[in-house]
Amino acid sequence: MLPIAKTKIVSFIMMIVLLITAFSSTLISAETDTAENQQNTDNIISLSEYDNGYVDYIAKFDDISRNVQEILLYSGEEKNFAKNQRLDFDVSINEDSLYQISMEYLNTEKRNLDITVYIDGDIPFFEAQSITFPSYWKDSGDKRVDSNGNEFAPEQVLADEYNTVECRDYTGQIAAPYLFYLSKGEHRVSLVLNDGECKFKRIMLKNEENPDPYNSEAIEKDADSYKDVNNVIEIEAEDAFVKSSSALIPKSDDGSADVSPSSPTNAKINYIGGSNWSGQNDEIRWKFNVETAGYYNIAFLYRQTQLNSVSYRHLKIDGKTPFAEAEKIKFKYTVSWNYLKWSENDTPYLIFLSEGEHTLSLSVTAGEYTEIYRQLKELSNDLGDLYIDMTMVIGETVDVSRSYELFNQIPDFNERLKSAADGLEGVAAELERLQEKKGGSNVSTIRNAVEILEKMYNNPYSAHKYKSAYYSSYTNISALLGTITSMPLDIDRIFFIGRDAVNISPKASLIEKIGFGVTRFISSFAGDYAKTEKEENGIQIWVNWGRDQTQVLDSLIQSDFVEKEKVFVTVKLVNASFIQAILSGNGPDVLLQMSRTEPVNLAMRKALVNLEQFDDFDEVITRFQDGATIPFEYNGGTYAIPDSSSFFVMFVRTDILEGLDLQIPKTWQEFIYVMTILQHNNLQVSLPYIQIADSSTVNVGVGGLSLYPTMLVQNGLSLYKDDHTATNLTKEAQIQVFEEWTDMYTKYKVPKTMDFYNRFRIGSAPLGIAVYTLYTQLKAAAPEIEGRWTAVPIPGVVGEDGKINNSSAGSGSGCSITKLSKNPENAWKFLKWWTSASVQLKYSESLESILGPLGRVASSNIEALNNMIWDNDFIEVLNSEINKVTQIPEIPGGYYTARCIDQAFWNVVEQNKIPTDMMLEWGAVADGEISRKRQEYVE
Amino acid sequence: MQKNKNRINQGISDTVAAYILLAPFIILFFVFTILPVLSSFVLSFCSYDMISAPSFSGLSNYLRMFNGDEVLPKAIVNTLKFSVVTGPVSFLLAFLLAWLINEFGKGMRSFLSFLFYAPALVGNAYFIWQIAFSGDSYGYVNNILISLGFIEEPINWFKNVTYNMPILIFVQLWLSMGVSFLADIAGLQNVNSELYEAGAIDGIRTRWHELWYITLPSMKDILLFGAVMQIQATFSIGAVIKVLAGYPSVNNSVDTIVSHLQDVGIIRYEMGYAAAISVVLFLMMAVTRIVVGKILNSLGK
Repeated sequence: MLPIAKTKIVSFIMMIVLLITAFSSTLISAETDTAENQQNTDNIISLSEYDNGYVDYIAKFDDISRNVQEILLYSGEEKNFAKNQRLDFDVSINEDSLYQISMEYLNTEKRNLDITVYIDGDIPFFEAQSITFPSYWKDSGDKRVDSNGNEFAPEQVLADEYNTVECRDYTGQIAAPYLFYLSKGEHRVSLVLNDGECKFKRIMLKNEENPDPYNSEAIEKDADSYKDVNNVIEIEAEDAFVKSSSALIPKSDDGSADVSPSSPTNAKINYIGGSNWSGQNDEIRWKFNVETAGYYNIAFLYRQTQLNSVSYRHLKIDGKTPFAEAEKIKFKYTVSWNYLKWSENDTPYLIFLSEGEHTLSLSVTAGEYTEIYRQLKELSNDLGDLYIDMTMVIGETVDVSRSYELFNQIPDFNERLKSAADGLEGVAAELERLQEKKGGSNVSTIRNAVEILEKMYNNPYSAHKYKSAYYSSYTNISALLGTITSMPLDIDRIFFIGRDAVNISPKASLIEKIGFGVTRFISSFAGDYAKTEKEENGIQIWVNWGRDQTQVLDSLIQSDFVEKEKVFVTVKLVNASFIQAILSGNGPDVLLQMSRTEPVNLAMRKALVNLEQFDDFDEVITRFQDGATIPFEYNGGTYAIPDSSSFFVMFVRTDILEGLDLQIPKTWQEFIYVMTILQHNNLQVSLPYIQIADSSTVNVGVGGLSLYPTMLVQNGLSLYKDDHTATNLTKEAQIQVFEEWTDMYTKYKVPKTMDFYNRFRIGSAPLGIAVYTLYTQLKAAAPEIEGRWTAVPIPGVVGEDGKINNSSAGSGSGCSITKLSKNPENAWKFLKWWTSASVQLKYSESLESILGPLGRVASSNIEALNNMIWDNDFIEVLNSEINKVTQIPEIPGGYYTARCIDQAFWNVVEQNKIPTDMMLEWGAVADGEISRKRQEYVE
Repeated sequence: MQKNKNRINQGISDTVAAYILLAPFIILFFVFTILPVLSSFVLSFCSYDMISAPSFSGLSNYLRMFNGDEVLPKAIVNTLKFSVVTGPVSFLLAFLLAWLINEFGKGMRSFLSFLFYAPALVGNAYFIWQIAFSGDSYGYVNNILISLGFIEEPINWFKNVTYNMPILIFVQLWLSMGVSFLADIAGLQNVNSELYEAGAIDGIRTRWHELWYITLPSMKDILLFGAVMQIQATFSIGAVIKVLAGYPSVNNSVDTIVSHLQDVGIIRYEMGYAAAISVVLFLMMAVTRIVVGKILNSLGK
């Protein structure tokens, strides 16, 4: 540890030096602040764009009356709406009013539509910049059955019927469709399609009356005129007509006798919903037929297993809400399947159904939770901004012996704390009211935060001491945001019970349940889950994946590969290594997703087949980025082809960098400049580093473990000698780069370990380099920073030609054919099928529909990667970056290289050793191991 | 004659019954314990990568230990450091705690035994030390030290050669209150209480006398059992260290024989050499066991 004064002086001088170099190289725009300006601590980040959100917009038009009318902007034959196209509609309005904008459309592409709405050339409120119109999906056919007789969900395809949807919110903040204000006179309404593609038939301005509350007297009176409505209409919920997301697949509960259909011996598809049916406005529609017109009561066999919460659904019949109560039907928490007859105080709600076909729609609505979500999000933003302000004054860690007087340093510090605490307390009270009981985990999370805030403003002189408690309160509240409007629900059956029909009891009786349980237990011995027999030309695949992944793979194989190639394939879920398979002499033909180092390790022991022997090998590898097979090459052969690949990109909190007048760095020089400014404001950056702990981390391969190989390839240097007989670690140029890399940690004090995901969310590490798959995680699980961050290519090195080389060292996995295979030709067919774009895409989409966005696969097939649903700007980054990835070869003894780099690294950054000495010492050790292995296997 | 034959028949049928009853254990013990030990002894003279068939290579594996493996000497020294500290300390600590806890009433005794046995019971609980000694400034220890003003920057505890050994020894001690502690409690309760009365009459004055002349000698077998378990545990330290400090640790400063052995065998596929190391480890344990047995035999003399 350096004394603090010395460290500060050093870093200050460094910063000045860097500032000068940055200015002289004119790489940074001239508007950047001078060092003096940077020292002002009142550099508060404001997010002005959030000030004109929909809530503020609509509040201005409180007293505007709403005239019930429809104004058609377009109606007629179907037209195409292509990406980046703009539609303009001129409309004359008779009276000042508020309108919904709705569109009848049919998706022609899988992506959801993303539309910007302009009124007279302006975006009326922030959210109108990006309004989602979901793509509608349906089952492609009947349920599928696997080789064990278990049913699984049919493939999801785009629906082929038009749907009418209003502009509305999908984040859970606003329950009703958006309203747009149009004054009396001429206006121009414009729609711009940013993403997706569709056809449309009708676009209109609509102003609906709010539905009336249920009028029991009038309805009962009317109902008397229909005699003998005593039939019961039963809908199997899994047979949905359309749904607003491909993730709403029919599901199977094979452990309960209550569901229909159910079987104690095999999995049956029998319900729909689950955690995938939980986001605001996620909709499922069913079609059903009514034979006798009259009044019906609706009932559900449902399950809602999320503790401490209720789920709401908005019910519509034929696109209309029958009465106000149908806007939020409440489903309470249940452990098992539960029968709900929708009623108020034992009086069932009655809905009129005419004879003929009807559509029932249930969509997720957060009900009263929308307001809670909105308030929490605002509070979480405020808390986040305040945290960054505090960090800029205090730094990452608090020096307790110092008096920071935060209330003097940060404007309105105490007021901001107080208002946040009051806001949170209000939310907690409202939550207690809604959940109809005191306490609970959500409420106590909020109350804990309130307590911290109170302590801070009650003890203004020691408020800084609570910084880390404040941080964890903030992250807890942000996490709450992700779950609080989640409204999962499973539905097995929906019933329309005629007014005069006798009551039904759809749940299984006790005797049925016992019978089910006993049969299920007995049949568990009979199932042959480990079919080992091999057919004549069949191939066997071993995977050690999760059950979901395996089932998706198996279903793809059975429905696609087996059909096409007539090759019998068995997929076995085993927890055994390939080594054990070889020892027992009974093993798989094909290995999938082998870790980086494995193919060469096995190939040098002659356990794998050289794939170059197949005629179309050269053609197949064009599916991947150039040189993607380099890590799988050994002794003139190629022993695997890649099936997943990843590389680094840089994640940037744009709001914070803008607040500090910084631009996104494109070179390392700029990166270091930005880093020093950030550090001067007590913020941090993150660089990728994985600690080598066991075989699984060694097997990641050297490229994915740290930034060093990436910096080498950017400098045009290689890690190994061309003939692969030794490393280049002891060469001068390589040592130079090593020093640049370790300087980041020693001179610039980049933290060696940090939880980048959380630090990025809160903003204390607004800049960092990480594997690109973090993008999906941030998109899916960090709603509170949506729109405030971006992912860009990593910084690079300026070459002699003036171009920036920002390539990244690659990592990933491969698939291969083993020597145990009796049918290498068929196994090769399988590998070609598995790495093809359509299969990789289907595999990823199926996983996403089960596991959510986090199930997305880091496919090595470039076409497949391109067709996954990424944001527009990110897909460009992906495309430019994947072609720049430089693969590091794997060689016998190569595991020692990663280790020795790691050893040298820790000696330098933690024990203050000299980089050159360490590289010479450990480079020699790595070379020693490589030559020993070469003696053993190569020479 | 008739009588004799009967007796012999009976003898045979007795032993047959005994062997039949023993058979399940004997077979399993032979297949899963004796056979692997023997085969690793055989393999230690072979070159074997688990994929190709083993080939005889004479003493080369043993020679490599002395010439050509820089990590092994460090690993042996580290293992000895760990076992010299954690072995005796945790053995004594286990006994001392058991002795103290034994003085409490039944309820309190069960509660305290549970408390001290818990770390061994919950398996992977040592992960809490990973959080506690995290190199991040939000790691518990770093955070406390920083907020108390002792340090300014977070320390990478497990990556720093000054701190990692002591911390790991501490973690190992925390974990080691395992079987020997429970065995000690059981042993203390089985000491014949009449012996204490007799001792009091024969002139034992203090509790220390009681401990030395009565308690310890009556518990010799239990103590030996505890010691054997402890030796086995301390010499095979490795898994926990690998998780906390990584493998290899910085400058191999806390790598042990077992973690090196697993590395050689599983990551580098050099089963023959790994077997040779395991044979050496086995010999080290056996020698220690003999020495400890001698020491325990001298109790109360």
